[in-house]
Amino acid sequence: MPTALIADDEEAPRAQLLLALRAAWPELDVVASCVNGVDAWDAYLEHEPQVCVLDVRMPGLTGIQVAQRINGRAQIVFVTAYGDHALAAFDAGAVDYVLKPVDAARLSQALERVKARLAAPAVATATASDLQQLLNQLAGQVRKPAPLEVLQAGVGKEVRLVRVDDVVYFESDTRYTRVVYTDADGDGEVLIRTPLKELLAQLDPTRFWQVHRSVIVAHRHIASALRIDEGNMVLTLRGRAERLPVSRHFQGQFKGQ
Amino acid sequence: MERDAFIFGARGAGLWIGTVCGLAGTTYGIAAAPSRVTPWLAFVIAALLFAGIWKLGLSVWLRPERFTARRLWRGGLLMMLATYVGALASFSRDLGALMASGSPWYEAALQVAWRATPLQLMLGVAGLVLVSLISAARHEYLQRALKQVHAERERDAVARQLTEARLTLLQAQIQPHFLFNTLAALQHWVDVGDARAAPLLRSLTSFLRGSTELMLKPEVTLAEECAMVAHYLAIMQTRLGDRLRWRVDMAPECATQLLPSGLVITLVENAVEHGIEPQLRGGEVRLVARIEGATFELRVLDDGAGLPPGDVRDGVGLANSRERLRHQFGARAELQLSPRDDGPGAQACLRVHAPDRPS
Repeated sequence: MPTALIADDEEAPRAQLLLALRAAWPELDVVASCVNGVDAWDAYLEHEPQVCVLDVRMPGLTGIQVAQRINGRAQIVFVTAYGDHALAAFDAGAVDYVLKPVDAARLSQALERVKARLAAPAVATATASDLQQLLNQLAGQVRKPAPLEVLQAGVGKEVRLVRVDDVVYFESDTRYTRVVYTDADGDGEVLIRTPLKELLAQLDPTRFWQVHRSVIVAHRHIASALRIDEGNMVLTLRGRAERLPVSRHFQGQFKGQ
Repeated sequence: MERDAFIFGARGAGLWIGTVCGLAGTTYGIAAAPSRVTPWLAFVIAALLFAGIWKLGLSVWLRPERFTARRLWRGGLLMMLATYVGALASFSRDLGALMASGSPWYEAALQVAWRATPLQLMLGVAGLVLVSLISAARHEYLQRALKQVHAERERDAVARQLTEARLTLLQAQIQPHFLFNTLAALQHWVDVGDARAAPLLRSLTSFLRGSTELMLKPEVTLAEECAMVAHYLAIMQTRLGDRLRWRVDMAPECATQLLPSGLVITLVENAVEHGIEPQLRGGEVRLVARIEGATFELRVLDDGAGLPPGDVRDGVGLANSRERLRHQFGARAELQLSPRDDGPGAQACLRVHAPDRPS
């Protein structure tokens, strides 16, 4: 049974989309219903569904940024309201999208194309690279907030300030995010409350790479990527003993040149 | 050369009649003089003379800027020279008689020229003065007309800009994205019988009706505008749920302040769209209006992501608002978008100074 993820930051359109999907494609198993971009990306990494139906305008990460990260590994259908700037590009790039309020006939059409691509992976790969190009272009137009500069961590009665520049890696730890850093005073470690998935949207992607659903690493600290077997890869760090797991989705970025 | 309204109009008729009479008179004069000139030749001479005068007159009339002082002097000298040659020709019988009396030709020529000089000087000076007077008067007249045309064109441009600004505002106000997202929520809640549908529809109707009415007036009171803002915020509140919180603090004496219609709502929409909606946990929009001394101050604050780094370029709404403020208040109004100084987020600050005590 094919699996799907849906994301919309507003309650009513999200609920409507869910109902419309159930009516148009009863066999589709909606495994996650997300309320913003960072949730959608996290849920994607958790479930790796085949279909993602994403609202374009969402807080945290836009639908376009989420699709860009998914990088062709799932079939994308965008949902947006008339008047969105991306519509012209979607039309030009033959991107599947439906307009809000979601119309049953339009949704069925888009889903038929998704089914066709799921049935013929060769065609899907070709469209995916076109889509990726378009998404990179559109993501460049997104107004991004300034990247996070400093983290504040409560340690007992003290609030410790850690410069993002000093961070080696972030690791999510049930309810907290563990921040491992190294500065002039040596190595350190603090816990912060901000979930890893939210931190991700605030970090400079050219300096911090996500390598696992629960790990983000500053790439200047990476020494090497080691392939253990078919599905497993780990990172070794410069001057440090710990090894960080690289999940399947991210293994593609370590492929040698 | 374009057709001049005066020369070719009813008032120019005198000029034409005068020309015809002058032509007839001169022809008669030349023909009647004790010379061997036939009436036809006299007519041709008179016609050439008048053609010259007309050509000169037309040039002065239509292109007065050509007659600079230097050109006038040069033209004057040329004219005097030409008339001397003409004088020598017309006094040729006297010249012949003088030469026959035994004086050498140059002396005879000098004598003839001397005899003609007062007439030449008079003609030349009179011609120069006439030409320079006409050209100066025409020059000034044309300059004034040109200035008037420019002023009218500018007035037209301002009027057009204002109309465009209001149209853009109407469009910006009822953004398709806003409208269809609201309709999407409405559609769903109607489908499933959710109780939120009815109040949302009511707010949307009030907002749309208000927007349409707002467009018909160039300016509104802050109280009227705030009623619209409340409808807008109620809609967004229903859609976003607890992600949006809002507060309006309006000092009672601000209620009657006149502002360009749709300005406050543009600022509030910006705060919701760029400040609150991109935040994972939403935020609060505050509208504060007060009067301090002679200055009306309105601030729209949000506690969202703040302004993007680097130069902030005005969007359509903000550029439009500035243009309309400038038109209504001139230099008395200022609108600034800046990071909030008391925490995260952005603030739009509008100040209007009273006209009698500009600060």
